Amino acid sequence: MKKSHRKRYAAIWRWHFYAGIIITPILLILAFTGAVYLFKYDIEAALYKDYYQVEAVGDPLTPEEQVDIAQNEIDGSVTRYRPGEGPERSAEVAITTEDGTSYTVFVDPYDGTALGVLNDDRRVMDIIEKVHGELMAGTVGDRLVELVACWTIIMIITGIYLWFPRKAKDFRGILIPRLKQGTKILIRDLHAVTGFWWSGGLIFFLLTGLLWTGFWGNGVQNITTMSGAGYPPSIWIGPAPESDVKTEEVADVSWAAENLPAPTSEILSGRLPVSINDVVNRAQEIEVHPTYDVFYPASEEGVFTLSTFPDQAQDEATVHIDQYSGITLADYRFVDYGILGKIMALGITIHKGLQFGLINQLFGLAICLGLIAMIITGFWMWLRRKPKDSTGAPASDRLINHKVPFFILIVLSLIFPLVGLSLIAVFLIDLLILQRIPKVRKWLNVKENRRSDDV
Amino acid sequence: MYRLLILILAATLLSACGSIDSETHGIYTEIPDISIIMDTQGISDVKEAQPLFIEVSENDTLVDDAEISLEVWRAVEEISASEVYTVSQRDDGLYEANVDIDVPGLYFAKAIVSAGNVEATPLQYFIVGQLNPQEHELLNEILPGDNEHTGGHH
Repeated sequence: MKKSHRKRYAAIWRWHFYAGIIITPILLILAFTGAVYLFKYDIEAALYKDYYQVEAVGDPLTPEEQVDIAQNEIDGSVTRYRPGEGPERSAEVAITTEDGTSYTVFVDPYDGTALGVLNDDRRVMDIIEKVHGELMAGTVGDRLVELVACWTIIMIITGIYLWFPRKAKDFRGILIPRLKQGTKILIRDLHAVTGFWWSGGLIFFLLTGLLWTGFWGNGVQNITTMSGAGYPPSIWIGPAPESDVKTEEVADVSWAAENLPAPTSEILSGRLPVSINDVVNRAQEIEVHPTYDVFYPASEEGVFTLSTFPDQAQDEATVHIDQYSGITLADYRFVDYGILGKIMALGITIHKGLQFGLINQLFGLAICLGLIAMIITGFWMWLRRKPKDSTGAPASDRLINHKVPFFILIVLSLIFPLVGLSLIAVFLIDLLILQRIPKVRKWLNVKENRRSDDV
Repeated sequence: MYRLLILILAATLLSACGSIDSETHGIYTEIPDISIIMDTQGISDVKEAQPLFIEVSENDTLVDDAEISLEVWRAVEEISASEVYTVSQRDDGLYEANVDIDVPGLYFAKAIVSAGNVEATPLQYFIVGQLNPQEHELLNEILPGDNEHTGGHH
């Protein structure tokens, strides 16, 4: 290897090394929770079997009656109604109490029994989802997850560079691990070879996962939705259409004013929200996939929203219904998505392990387990060669000396702005802290009198 | 390096620009501009055949080919006890049903409207004469806000 290549190799290794050390704790959490979340519906079906399953006997009660039963259990505002997707599935009614706590009441639609109540914040899979999506730390957690996902992409790119065969004579240690050449070789191969084979799947999961993030994900949704190529507004981002609020029925109608006496009080008559029965009837008429939820209007201008994201992206639906007239204002199906919206929808259902059933779940699980294996083997390799008095990182070199990696980093910073911001943070840390504390500099193997691009 | 940092910062700020509003729906679908008005002012007493007018308009133009039926029932009863009325079209493009009121109180009127591809089920309450205590309570439940509503005569 030429000296310049050696330097480039060391510089890239250094990035791979530090990125790995910094992000792996969170990445491990994401991989583990992701693996569990792939089986969300199986786990919930087992956990809440007594709440989910009912015996179909006789005619079911109307949705309105089911909602009334739920309100007898919990005092608050109804926010969501979900009819069972089959005759042997209970209905769900979500109610938010005055203190803001959200509960789901499970109702047997046949005998009217309230089967049970769950606090939504304490549902196991919801907690797993919150850890996976935002580390249960709100916006800060969301940004951290995004940052880790972005840096994992950089880890993969740098890892592929480090893996790339330069003088290999066969594919052992490159495409298949060497099993009989000692533990050190085996661990190295498990890290590098797995990394190579898993890289495509990992990139897919990272990019589709990034769609949920509050910064990059929202930005992408914003751009694609506005361009007409993404999801229609209100599905991921943007407002729903508004209900047509009628506050002065008669005063606005000239013909009525000519023929009839003016109203003495607006209280004497007025428009009311349509019944949940009518909303459910509409859902059946327009053949929304039976896994839908009905979200109640959140304000006077709000709409009833029928929403379903079932296993297959092609069955997705988001329908907005005017709460005062029952008119369907917007009916968005998969076919209405722009081309990028369709791709994203398919990516998301695959990410969640839904699109292709068990095979999809196993594929996702393999990606998560492979990632965990790479983290463990990477950590093991580091511990094995780490000197006592330093991190064991390769010596720093100015990254700007290596045009291609430098260019790639710029491009990635532009695509993933949080990467750019983190680079600024690294630059400032180096400038303000590392360069002033020799012990830390030595421990991190940072040369003196260099700027952030040494890191 | 400084140039790179400025470039990154500019790109980050740019990415935060732009927003989606209700007009964006127009890129993906046509939001129907349909208005349905139910006028119950003609129902003022306890008597038979009082007019209830319905106006259906699309883009501020009256729709004259809607199919409409009307259900009216006392609010203290179930919808299953409703009286179903035929709705006829008038020469001026409005629709009219003649509603019978047997007792004073709080009533619900629900129109089932079918006009082209649009289906609607607007629901309206109206008061005839004095309300009994049960109807008072019901009125306070269905009206937004915490105000006590007293109802009253036309």
